[in-house]
Amino acid sequence: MLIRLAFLANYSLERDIAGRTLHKHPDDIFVVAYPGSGGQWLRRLVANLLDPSNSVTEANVMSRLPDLYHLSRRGFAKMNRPRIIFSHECFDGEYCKVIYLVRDPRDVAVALCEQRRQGGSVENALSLEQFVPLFLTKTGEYQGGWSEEFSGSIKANQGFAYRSRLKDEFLGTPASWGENAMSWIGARGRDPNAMLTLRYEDLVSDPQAELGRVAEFLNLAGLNLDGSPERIRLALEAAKSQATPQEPGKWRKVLPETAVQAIESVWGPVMTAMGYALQADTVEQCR
Amino acid sequence: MFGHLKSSARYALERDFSLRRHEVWTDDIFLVSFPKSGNTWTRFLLGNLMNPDKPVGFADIERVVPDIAVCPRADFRRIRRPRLIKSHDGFDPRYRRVIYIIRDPRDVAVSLYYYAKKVKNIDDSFSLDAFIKRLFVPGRSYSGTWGENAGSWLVNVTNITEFCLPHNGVNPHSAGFAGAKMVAPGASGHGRKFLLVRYEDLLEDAQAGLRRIAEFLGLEASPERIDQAVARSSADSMRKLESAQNLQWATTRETRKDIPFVRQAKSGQWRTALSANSVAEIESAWGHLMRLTGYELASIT
Repeated sequence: MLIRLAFLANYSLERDIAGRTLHKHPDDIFVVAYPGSGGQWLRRLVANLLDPSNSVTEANVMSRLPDLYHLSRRGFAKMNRPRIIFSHECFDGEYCKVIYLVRDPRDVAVALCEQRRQGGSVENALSLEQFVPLFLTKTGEYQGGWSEEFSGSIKANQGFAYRSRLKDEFLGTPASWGENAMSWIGARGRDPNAMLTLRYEDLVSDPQAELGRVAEFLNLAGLNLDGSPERIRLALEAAKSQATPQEPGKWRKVLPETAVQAIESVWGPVMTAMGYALQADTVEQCR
Repeated sequence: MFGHLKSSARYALERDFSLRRHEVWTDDIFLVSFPKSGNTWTRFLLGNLMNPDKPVGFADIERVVPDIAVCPRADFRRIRRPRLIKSHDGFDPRYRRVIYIIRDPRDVAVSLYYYAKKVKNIDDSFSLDAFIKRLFVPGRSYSGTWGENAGSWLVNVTNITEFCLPHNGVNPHSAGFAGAKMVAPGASGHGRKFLLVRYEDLLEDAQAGLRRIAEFLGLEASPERIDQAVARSSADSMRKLESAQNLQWATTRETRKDIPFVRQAKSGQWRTALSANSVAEIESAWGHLMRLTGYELASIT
């Protein structure tokens, strides 16, 4: 009861985390990536692109390019427009402009498992082979529940946090890799004005060109950026100290055969459409 | 300030609308479509099928098959489960049982044009051509365009290439996938139960369409009950109900009364109503989706 009142007080002050209830504007630009797809790296690249003279830090990334899950509704309301917002969500028609980052799901599996182990949400003893069917190729079993349940912690300048069990219900649901990617491609795959699709692998192999596309898209979306090669080079330079991208193809070394098969059997056609060669096909050709 | 207090009070009493704040249960059944695609008719058909004792009207439809955007949260959570819920949302991974109603976007355009006038979004001088060019094809006022709404729900592993443009030198059509078996369009991954219903099929044979939906929901439905539900939900009876109850239904309460909500209830109106330009505009944006769902293209693309 007390906690409900506390939430209500926070709601009145718009101190609750925005999440999926964020009030969107038509000029908002969203950077969307499934967790484990290198989204945080892209987020920092874009943040640097916005202001290369003052490079982004862990402290100011929330004010320059905040994510949906750690900022209050009030915090979002106070931002200067056009806002650029980071999100993991599936398709949302109210996101008018979207930069969607996609990554080979076999590498996503590896990255996500590492992330979860570090974050403590899966045990270190859990193998990749077990991780894939439990957390990657399966979508969450949502049991439903009351939105008002939350833990009482308020982080400075951020907002009211929810209990993790209900985060999915209320804050948002990235769903599975395939559902996330398919929902965006199904809705916007043929509409390059509304969605710029980037592949993590291309961003690693030619960051200069890919970030150039990002700058062009941001300018078409209403920003007034200097998209010159020099400025892009500066943004890349500035991001080097903050995040080093993982080399694509790590799955070949660490992902067990059964896990590869599990991923390819669920999403093979999506991977092919995104230009990721299937191991199943390669094996076929060798025979 | 006053508005602020009001919204807080509403929230405290759970009188605010559910929208994306709603909690979803795994046994919820969603009746999803883009606006003006026969959703209200389907709500009546199902409402009447499940409540044979008394015909459903506009005054009580929000109780029988609540609209997720109209029903206050407090009422929404009191509905007996499994809940049957109407929604215009784009893809939502939490919806585990979905009936998606699709209608020829060219007819949707005509219908939505009159609806936009009815709800006073546009005035009488606004032309149909301008509506399609400026509001219908590029507009996201109904949480996504027609193509985004349908595409987000209809895409799956067997048809994904239809939704891609070649990018980065990769042509999605060049690489085949041997193991893929064509299945009906629809986001049926991860065990989601998905039923695609074409409004036109429902118009042609409402009994058969309703039987199919009842089977999908696992409802026992005798032919007599199906017939009764179809009769009680006919365009004529819905028109009568509308003129008697339009002030009791939130959707029509504050709209123009000279334009009806239940309009022609027919298909193919676009053939006479739309200009060739408008047809081409719609087909060039969403031809891939129309082909996928069996709507023949009229313009040469």
